[in-house]
Amino acid sequence: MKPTVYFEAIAEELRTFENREWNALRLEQRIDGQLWATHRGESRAVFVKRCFPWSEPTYFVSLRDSDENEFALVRHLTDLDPASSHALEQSLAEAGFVLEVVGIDSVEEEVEIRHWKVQTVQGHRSFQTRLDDWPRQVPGGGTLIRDVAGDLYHIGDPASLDKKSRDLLWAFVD
Amino acid sequence: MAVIWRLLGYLTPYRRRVAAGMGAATLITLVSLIPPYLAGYLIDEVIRPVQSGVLTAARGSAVAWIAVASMAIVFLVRQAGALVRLRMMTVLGEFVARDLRTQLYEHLQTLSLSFYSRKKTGSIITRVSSDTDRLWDFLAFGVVDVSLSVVMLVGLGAVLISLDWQLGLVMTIPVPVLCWWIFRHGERINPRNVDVTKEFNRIHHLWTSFWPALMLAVHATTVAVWVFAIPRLLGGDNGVGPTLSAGTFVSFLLYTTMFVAPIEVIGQMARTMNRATSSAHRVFEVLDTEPEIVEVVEPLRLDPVRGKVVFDNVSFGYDGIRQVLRGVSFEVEPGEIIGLVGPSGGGKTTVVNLIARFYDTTGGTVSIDGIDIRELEIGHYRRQIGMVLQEPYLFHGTVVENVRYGLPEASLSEVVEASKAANAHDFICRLEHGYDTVVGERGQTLSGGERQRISIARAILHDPRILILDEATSSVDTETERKIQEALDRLVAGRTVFAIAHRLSTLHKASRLFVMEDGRLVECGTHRELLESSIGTYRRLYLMQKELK
Repeated sequence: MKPTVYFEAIAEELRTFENREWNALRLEQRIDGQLWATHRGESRAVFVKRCFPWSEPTYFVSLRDSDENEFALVRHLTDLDPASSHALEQSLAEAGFVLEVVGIDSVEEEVEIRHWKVQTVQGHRSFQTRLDDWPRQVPGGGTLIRDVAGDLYHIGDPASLDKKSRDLLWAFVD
Repeated sequence: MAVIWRLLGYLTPYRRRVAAGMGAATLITLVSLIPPYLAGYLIDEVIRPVQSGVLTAARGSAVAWIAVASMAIVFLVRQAGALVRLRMMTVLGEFVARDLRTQLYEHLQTLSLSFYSRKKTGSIITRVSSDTDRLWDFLAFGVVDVSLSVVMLVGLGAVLISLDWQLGLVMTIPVPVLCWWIFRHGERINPRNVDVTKEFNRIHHLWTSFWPALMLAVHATTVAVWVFAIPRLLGGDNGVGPTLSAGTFVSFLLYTTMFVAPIEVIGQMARTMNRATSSAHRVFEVLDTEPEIVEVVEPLRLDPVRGKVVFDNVSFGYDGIRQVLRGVSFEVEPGEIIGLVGPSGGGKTTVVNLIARFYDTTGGTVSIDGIDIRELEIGHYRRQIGMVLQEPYLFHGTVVENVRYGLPEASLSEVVEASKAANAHDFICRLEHGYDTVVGERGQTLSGGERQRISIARAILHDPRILILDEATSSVDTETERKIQEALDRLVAGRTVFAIAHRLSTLHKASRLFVMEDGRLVECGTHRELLESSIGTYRRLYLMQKELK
């Protein structure tokens, strides 16, 4: 059953924003590294907050001011002009990376910490997770691991990993 | 016993697996009978003939090696049989437990709300988990163990009688008596006393007295074998030589020790069987409970429901004795917002329970869009009803999963839109993991107002045609109430709404107010109309609340 959009005002607001206003949203990283957003003639220093940091880390980024009020909501990087998109990408990277894992070399447990050595599209990486921080299945498919620093490691299709990686991952997924 | 037969029925779909497991277990039992026979054979046909010079040492050695090799083969066959049996029966047990749990779970979905109000949640969970586990254990291992113990006893009896019929009878005659004793004991320990403490004491006493007595009886039988065998082994005073060979006696003693294990298993099984029977009774009690809300054979679908609700002389009582609603009649047009007000116990919640068809009326009819509610397909109809309750229920999961609960296929955009409409987006984004934050059991990591707004977002996404609000803004602070009220104002637009509220000020959007008192609809009208009545219940309630302010 598809919802009839009776909350037209808000839906319309989002659509308008998507079609027109988002294009008008400008983002830039100033010399001090602070992200600034300009929208409808108003500029404000903002920080980024992923709305879906686990399930869809690249979609729906909330730009919030120092009082934590939402200044703008960006559905996807592609909705912005290239310069703004680049500035947002940088801020997102600073707020936490999302790395695509293509292989797992080892998973070792130390006191309270699990130590992962993985191969990512960006190269070899190692990171730590808390023992009780288990990899999560994400609705869009795949598995997401969050390290102690807040960086995310995404395994798009665990079944496509090599046997050794699958065997290592097996113990951590349902 | 009927309950045990009913339980065994769950093995029927797995006949092959049961046959393979039983076959393997029978093989284990039969080959277990070989080593004692070989021991006796070695003594009588190899060792003693070699000692007396009838058989050469070389020949004796060759026969001994054959016997040793045979024992090794017996060992290997037993291990292989044990592996097959364990594998077959373990997997079988899992299958049966799965079937039982699935059947229970599916049946629980069909049961009416009244069943859940009678039963404790813990009791239902126990039936699905612990009781099915116990039945799994009984079906997978208990049944096989007992069957094999019986086979073992019969086999042992046959072998003993064939070796020496007199000693064989001494050993086997008490066995049926012991089995009958165990059976009788099983019946005695079956819990029947309502006083749990006394019952546990009684069962404990029965066990502590029964078990040593049983073992004493088994060992007494072994002693009897010795008493009868020794004179025959040594030979009589009348010059007649021994009538029992040393090998046969050794075999006999070895077989005698094998009697204890199956009797022990049967003895333990009496207890396991009682526990399994109790569990089976509890499981079947749920499975045999008929749902009180039954769908007609060919139910109708209203697609979509417009939202016209008519109560025609409706009466209802939860216990069949006390009437909670008495002859309530009203007609609500699609899109109307109805405020249900009145003192506690007046029947407001019962009205909305009947609209959602959690119960059937005991008199009169409830109709939706002109069709008797009992003619409608329950699941399809309920999917078009939304409820925002005083204590919203959030599941252990993420915020996005909870918002999507009524519409799992909703896109992230729709989730965000609904959350914004419910004034929830802002606080969700402040959470550490945003929409991916796990809210904990019943949403315990969130405040009451936050939980309420998530449940409103869920209702917005679900897009019901009939909406029920039960004290949705109670027990929150003024600022949160304002946010929730704002969200509710967006939610109610364009649907038939029944809102229960004690704070009359929250019903400012209601097109009509129904005043319920003592199971009757005593007043009906707009806020202004009801206030104009000089002696009305609503006017009295309104003035009381105004005074309190």
